[in-house]
Amino acid sequence: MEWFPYSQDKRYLSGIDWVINALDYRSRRAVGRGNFSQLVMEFDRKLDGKLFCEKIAIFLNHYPVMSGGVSRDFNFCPYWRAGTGKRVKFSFAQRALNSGEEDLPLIFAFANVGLKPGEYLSFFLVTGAEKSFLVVKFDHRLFDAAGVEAFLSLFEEYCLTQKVTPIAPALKPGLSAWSEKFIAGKAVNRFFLKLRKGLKPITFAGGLGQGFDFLPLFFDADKSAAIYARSLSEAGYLMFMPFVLAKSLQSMDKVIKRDGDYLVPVNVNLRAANCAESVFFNHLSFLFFRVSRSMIAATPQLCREVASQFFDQAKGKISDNLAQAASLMRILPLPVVAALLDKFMGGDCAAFAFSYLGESAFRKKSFCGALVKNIFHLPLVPAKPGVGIFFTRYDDRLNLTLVYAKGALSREQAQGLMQELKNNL
Amino acid sequence: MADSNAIEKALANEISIILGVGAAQLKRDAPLHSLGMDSMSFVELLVFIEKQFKLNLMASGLNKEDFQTISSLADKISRATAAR
Repeated sequence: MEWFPYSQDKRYLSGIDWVINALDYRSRRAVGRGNFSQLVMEFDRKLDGKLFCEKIAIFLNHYPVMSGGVSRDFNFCPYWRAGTGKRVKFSFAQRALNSGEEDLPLIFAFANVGLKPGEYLSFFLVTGAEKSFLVVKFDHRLFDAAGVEAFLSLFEEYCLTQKVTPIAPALKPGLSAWSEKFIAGKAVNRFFLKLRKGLKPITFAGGLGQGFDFLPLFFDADKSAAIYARSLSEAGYLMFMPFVLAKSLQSMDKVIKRDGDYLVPVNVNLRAANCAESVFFNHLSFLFFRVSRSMIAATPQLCREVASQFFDQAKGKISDNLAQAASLMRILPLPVVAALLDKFMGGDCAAFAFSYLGESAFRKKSFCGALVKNIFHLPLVPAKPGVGIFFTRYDDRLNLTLVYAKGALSREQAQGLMQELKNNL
Repeated sequence: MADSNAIEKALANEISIILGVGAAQLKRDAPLHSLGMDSMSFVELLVFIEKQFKLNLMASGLNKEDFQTISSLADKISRATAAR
């Protein structure tokens, strides 16, 4: 019943958005940084930093949602208030590579710097003689990974046509159908009780340091095609996600032996294809896989097990129920939600975080006049599990990034894991 | 044997809901992955097939030939329901 005239400047947060805000809170407490991520675009030539900066400043001001922030409404529902009339703040820095200097360490250093207060986007341009990298740092409270790719696609469209795609990220508070939400909550509760049974929290002997290390791996078109072909024969048609998760589990088990079963949270994209309304905020949910160590050695058996759990969770509507149940948590303050994530949802027992984003939502071949050679992500990973394996794809080429909080893995373990993944895929 | 055309129509309708595109836009002889399906949306389709046609195709092996297009998938479902 639409009896209340909700303001267009308000976008009520979904339960998943509130969970992402809780992860932001937890990350600030644990490692001193918010919950942000980076997208890296590689170009075939030097991008004109001044021109980019001028254009993006104009473009961003068409989206006042980007100068907003979180508030609570009279009905206790958290919402995002757009900063209508305020200029959108963002940072831009540029650095030319010195002769013989490597690009990735500069990018990794930038990925370890937090966003300034009131900023949700920050850009870092690294330029070489015949190449450049644009690193886009984005706050997860406002964008998920596919959302920022779609946003950059809109920006390129704007550069080419001068047309701005209007986006009204409206969402009603969803303060109805309580019985459905409580039933979803009960289903989720039962699922997590079973999932966590007998698992011990993972601890890091030396504690966690400040910051994250990244190890990316880029596959060319031929190798990517070979990996897809293997997934077809070993896991089945359109079972690429279960295949790469199975390979990640095998690699992890070989290098970092852990006691007991492996618990892996996997985030999944819930947006419909080509949906402009879903550029801002989070349109994802989670699946959870628990795999016994005894199953890990045989690839077909492991792929079947992962695919079977995937099917059972889709059938049981776990990700939908989770999104519904999370909406009940919006009344809770962030420290309480953060504690629940650890103690109830298995965050403290997870072996590693995992995602496979699929083909990039940035569907263009060029950006600001330069040819895009590759797009990959450098996400941070929650303090627990402290390790993440993330697959992305651009132009049919597969990219893999291993991310770990300092102290969660040793450098030798991380390099061994990457080598194992390389050999295994 | 169940009507393959009716199965095809039901599949196209469900895929259009999953992918958020109009059913008329879906080419029935195009590979599912070229329509924009990924692992997540494919598993949702398998759940629909189990509920609608009482067939667990996940357990029967996911050969590309059977799942290549909406038409070939409809044929497989039609054959499997007839064989029961």
